[in-house]
Amino acid sequence: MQESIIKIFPKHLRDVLNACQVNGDCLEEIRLRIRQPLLFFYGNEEWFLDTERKMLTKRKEQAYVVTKEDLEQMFSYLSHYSFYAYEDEIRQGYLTLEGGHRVGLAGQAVMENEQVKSMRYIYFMNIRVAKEKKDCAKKIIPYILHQDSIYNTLLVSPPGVGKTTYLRDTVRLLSNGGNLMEGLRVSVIDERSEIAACHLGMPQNDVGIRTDVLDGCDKAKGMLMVLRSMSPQVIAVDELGGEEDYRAVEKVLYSGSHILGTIHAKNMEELEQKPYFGHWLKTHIFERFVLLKKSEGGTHYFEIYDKDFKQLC
Amino acid sequence: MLKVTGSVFILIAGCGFGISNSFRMKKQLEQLISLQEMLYLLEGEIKHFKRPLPEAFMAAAEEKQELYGEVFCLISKRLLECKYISGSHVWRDSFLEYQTQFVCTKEEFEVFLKAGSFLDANERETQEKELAFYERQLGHMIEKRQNELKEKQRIGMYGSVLTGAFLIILLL
Repeated sequence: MQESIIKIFPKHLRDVLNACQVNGDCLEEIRLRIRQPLLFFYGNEEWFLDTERKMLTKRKEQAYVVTKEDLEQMFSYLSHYSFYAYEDEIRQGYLTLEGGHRVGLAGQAVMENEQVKSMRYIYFMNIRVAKEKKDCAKKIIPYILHQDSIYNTLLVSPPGVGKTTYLRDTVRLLSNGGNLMEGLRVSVIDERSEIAACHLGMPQNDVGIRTDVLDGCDKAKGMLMVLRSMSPQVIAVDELGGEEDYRAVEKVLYSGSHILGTIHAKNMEELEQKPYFGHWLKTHIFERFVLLKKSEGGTHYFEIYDKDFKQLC
Repeated sequence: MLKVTGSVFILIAGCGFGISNSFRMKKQLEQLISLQEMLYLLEGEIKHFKRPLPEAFMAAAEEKQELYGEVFCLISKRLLECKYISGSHVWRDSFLEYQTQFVCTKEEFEVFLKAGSFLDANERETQEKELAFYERQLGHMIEKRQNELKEKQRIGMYGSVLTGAFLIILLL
């Protein structure tokens, strides 16, 4: 397991985790809940931590139970004792570790004027281990290239299939260029720090040599900001959804840049029923749809459609 | 001749002691002022740039070299190591490591150690208020010292010279 993850655990658990020698490649998530067993999602299965034998176990009765002090200490380490510096991220319910690992946070929301001002009693954490899957989007690139840029492209899938992973790799491949094309200037609007996973301003994931990242910024505002300042050829944005996003996308398209975005939908039929999307379908704003799927065996594959929803592959 | 030489040496020693005392008092004041400046720098890093504490301490350390720069560097490193239960513990232990290089009084040093409590605040407003409190406290201490400095230096000097003279008389 990576040092950047082990480091945020209290000392008594760090020693156990080091002794366990958990394989970071197989580790997907670590879940901590107050007064509940510490859970590892490892190799597609759930495991508990046996602190006495210093190993992962399937036996719940031997599981280490997370205490309030553990979580408070972990939060101090996560935030480098600087709660104030991460107020915006905490308000949105996450922090990003060095290495790009995201720590989801839950607790008691502090509300003010019907907005989430902050969070306290942060006693639930979900550490998602970051894994870059380089070249997973290699086969998509030929279908989305168009002249010296790309078609306006949407990556479509339900949650958990890997839209963000594919988006990240597509950005990297477009930015670096290759045999098929020269590298493009890409601007990433990384509202939730999931694409580049910036930690203290530095991308923890490889997003390519010609990529600029606007981290933690609202998507709609971010798109307009980079248009004015970074002259991107492609703007990459994750999880398009609200009315503001759609308006911002239209402004981008009128400026000559192209959009590479993602959107939640199980299939193309569900996509057609999305609010605000009908207008885009009529005007053929998006010319490529990459429908990502995952088989029962866990294999990822995709289908590509053009603007008329005709399947290309 | 021997008596005259001895008397001169005693007088020089007395003056030397007075001068050294005077320098010490001046250095005490300088250390108080330096710490206040460092807290202002930190406040700026936290309030305006919202830097995480390890970075804020390092940035402040780079502005001010010498003793406080070293202490703040150490604090920054320890905060990143994530080995202490709280930020105030990091502050306290780091200052204690450099204790011998501080010339302030015991009471003043206790204030230095307690000043780290602002690191344990859970939100920015409280943190800023705590920091401001210690800045004010340091301000009072500095003002008191400045008012007393000249007087104390003079008394110290006269006292040392008179003690030297008294010793001469005694021995003669």
